[in-house]
Order: sequence, then C-alpha cells, then structure tokens
Amino acid sequence: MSGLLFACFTTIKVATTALGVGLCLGILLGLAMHQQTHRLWRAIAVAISIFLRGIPELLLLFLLYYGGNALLQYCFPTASSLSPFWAGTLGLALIFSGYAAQIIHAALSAIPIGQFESSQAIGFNRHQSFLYIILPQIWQHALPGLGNLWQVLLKDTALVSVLGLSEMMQWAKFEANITHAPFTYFMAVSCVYFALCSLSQLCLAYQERRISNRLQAKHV
Amino acid sequence: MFDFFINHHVAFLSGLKTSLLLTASGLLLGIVFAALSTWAIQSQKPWYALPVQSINHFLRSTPFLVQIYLLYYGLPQFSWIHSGPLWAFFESPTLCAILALALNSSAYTTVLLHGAIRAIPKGEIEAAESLGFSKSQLFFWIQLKRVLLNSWAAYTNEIILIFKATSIASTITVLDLMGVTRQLMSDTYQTTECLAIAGILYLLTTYLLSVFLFAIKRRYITAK
Repeated sequence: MSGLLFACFTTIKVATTALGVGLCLGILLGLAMHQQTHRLWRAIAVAISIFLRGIPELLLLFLLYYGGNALLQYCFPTASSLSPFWAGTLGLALIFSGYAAQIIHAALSAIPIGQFESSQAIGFNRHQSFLYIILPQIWQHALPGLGNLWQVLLKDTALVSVLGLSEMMQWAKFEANITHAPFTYFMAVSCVYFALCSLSQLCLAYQERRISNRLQAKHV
Repeated sequence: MFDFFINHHVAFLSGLKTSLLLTASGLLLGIVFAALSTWAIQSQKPWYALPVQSINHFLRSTPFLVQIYLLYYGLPQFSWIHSGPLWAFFESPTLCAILALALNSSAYTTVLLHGAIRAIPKGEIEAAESLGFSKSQLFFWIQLKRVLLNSWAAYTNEIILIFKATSIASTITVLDLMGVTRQLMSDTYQTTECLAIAGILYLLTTYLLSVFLFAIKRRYITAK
C-alpha cells in the first residue's frame, strides 16, 4: 500500500511539472500564434501546434526518449542521458502546450485591444501591461479549457510507465506479476486516478464559479 | 530514412491499416453503446440511469491505458473468464482493444449526444406533434436528424482522438502502426528512423482525416 502512495506521489510530480512547463510553453506558443507583425513566428507556432496535436502521445514520448537521447549523445557525447522522468514530463508538457496554445490564442482574441492601449496610456510598459493587465484576463477566459486539458494531462501520465518510470502503472504491473492478481492492482490504480480526477474537477468547478460570479459583478 | 520506409513499407502500411480498422470498429461499437446509454439516461428511470452514469463517469476519469490493461491483463485473473466461454473473446488482444476503445469512446459520445438532445428546441417537437407526427416519425425525422446535425462537429474531434488512442493498443501486443514501429525498432535498432516514419504517417492520416471530416461538415451540416 505504501508502494501505491509513493507511486502516486511520482504521478502527481510528473503531472504538476508537466503542467508548469506546458503552461509556459503554451502561453509562448499562443502569443506567437496571436501576433500580427512577425508572420514567420506565427507560421512556426501554428506548425508546432499542429504537429503536437497530430501525433499520438505515446509516439511523442518514444520520440523524446529514444530520439532525444540519440540527439543528446550525438551533440554532447559526454552528457548523461535523458531520464524517463524528464522525457515523459517533457513529452506531456509539449502535448499540453500544443492544445493550450489554441486556448490561449482564443482567450487573447476575446480581450479588447483597448485594454492594452489604455494600460500603455497610463504608463505601463509592454511587459508590465501584459503581466498585470492582459494575463489575469486571459486566465478568466482560458480556465475552463485549461481545466479540461489538465484532466487529460493527469490521465496521460499513465503513459509514462511505458518508458519505465516507476509511477502507479509500473507499480501495478510489478505487483501484478508477483501476486498474479492483475485486476486487483489495476483497479486500485484506476480508483486513485478516479479520485484525483474527481478532486480536480471539484476544484475547477469552484474556480469557474468564482470567476463567472466576478465577471457578472463586473458587467452589472 | 526514405530507403528505410521503402524497405519496410509493407509492415508500416499493414500497421496503418490495423490502426484504421481499430478506429472504425471501436467508433461503430462505441456509437451503439453510446446510443444505448443515452437512451438509459434519458429514460429517467434511476435503476437504468444511475449505473450507466456512474460507469460513464468512471470511464471518463480513468486513463485509457488502465482501461485496456484491465480488460486484457486484468480480467483473466477470474477463473470464470479464464476457463469460461468468454475466454475466446478476451484472449484476443485485438478484440480487447476494440472493446476498450468502444467503451472509452461511448463514455464521451454519450455526453455529446446528451447535449445535442438538450439543444433541440422544444417548439420543434411540439410543432411536429401538432402536425400529427407519430412517435417513431417524430424520433426519426425530427429528433435523430437534429441530434446528428448538432453533434457532428464535436464528434469529429472524438474520431481524431480515438485514432490517436489506437496507438495505446500496441501496449497489449496489437500490431497497429505503433506496434509495428516498436517491433521494427527492436529488430533493426534504427529507432529514430522508425519513430520519424511513424510520426509522419500518423500526422498525414490525422491531417487527411480532419480535412475529410471538415469537408463532410461543410457539405452536409453547415449547408442545412
């Protein structure tokens, strides 16, 4: 049982790290997709997003783990290889960012350009107006979509077991081999996932309600 | 890389064919399950609706990998399956993968269908009733048509997602595109080439699929 707890901790670590990295990448990609002046950057961002959304998660994980290691060995022969944890986390983060970019792009389109202009008029510079004025508003529009993505990400962490990281699925496979009771162990893992997903659903529903209340208060 | 593909194109293409077959059969069976569970939920009888809803909720909040492992590796734990008549079904990885895909897709499709039914304007049904449509006519000509039109756009996403999910069937030894790739990887040790070719094939297929589905949407749905 303590094995499951420890493995669950690894799963949560993978999911949260991937969320952080993926959100940063997603915002960058979304900003690049949204901008009008540099066409080249926009085309690159759109292509990356299409690529990340078009290939299966499992394939991307393998590509990062084997291809990434081969590339690393080729460029830096002395470097240590990419661990399953980082290959898996990076893969999940990239997939998250591919979808998140679309959501951020849509959220940016929902914000009136006047918000940016007026924040510059009262003396914010570009970075400040993005960080303090635009970003908090993006959050309101993007939260429902990002919440769904987080649930998908949480469920995709099971795939990292294929690379050999000892998270919940790997633990269950190991225990099932010893005890010859695979159903029991896989069911235990699915119950933990069920609990994690339901918990995050509750938190997200609470956050969404708070935001929609605030939006209504603003419009009245 | 191109030479590698030419040398092994038979394996890659047969893998792609298996992936597409898994997608099609999983989706078709999934629609049947989804129609049944939508009917159960709509019936508003708690002893139908409640179990169906909780199973759907469970399927939507657990990873597909766990579900497919539960079916293929998990179920043989029970002797009544291992030595019963059902074993002919559950010993085949392909059939297990199809069943897992169908169950997973039906859980999401049920939500789509449910939303599409709720989006039918009430007046439309009342108008049909007042024109003298019978119950079955009302269902086939008004409700079903509306539901198909309403849910198609969201369902195209589901088709692409299920196609991508078929790659997970390779973990239970099905030789779909991903399975073939993993086999070639361990046979030839040319990992990067194998993965790159599989990536290109997957990208191409999802792209063509989305173009095709979008064309259907524009031809039949938006025009209406």
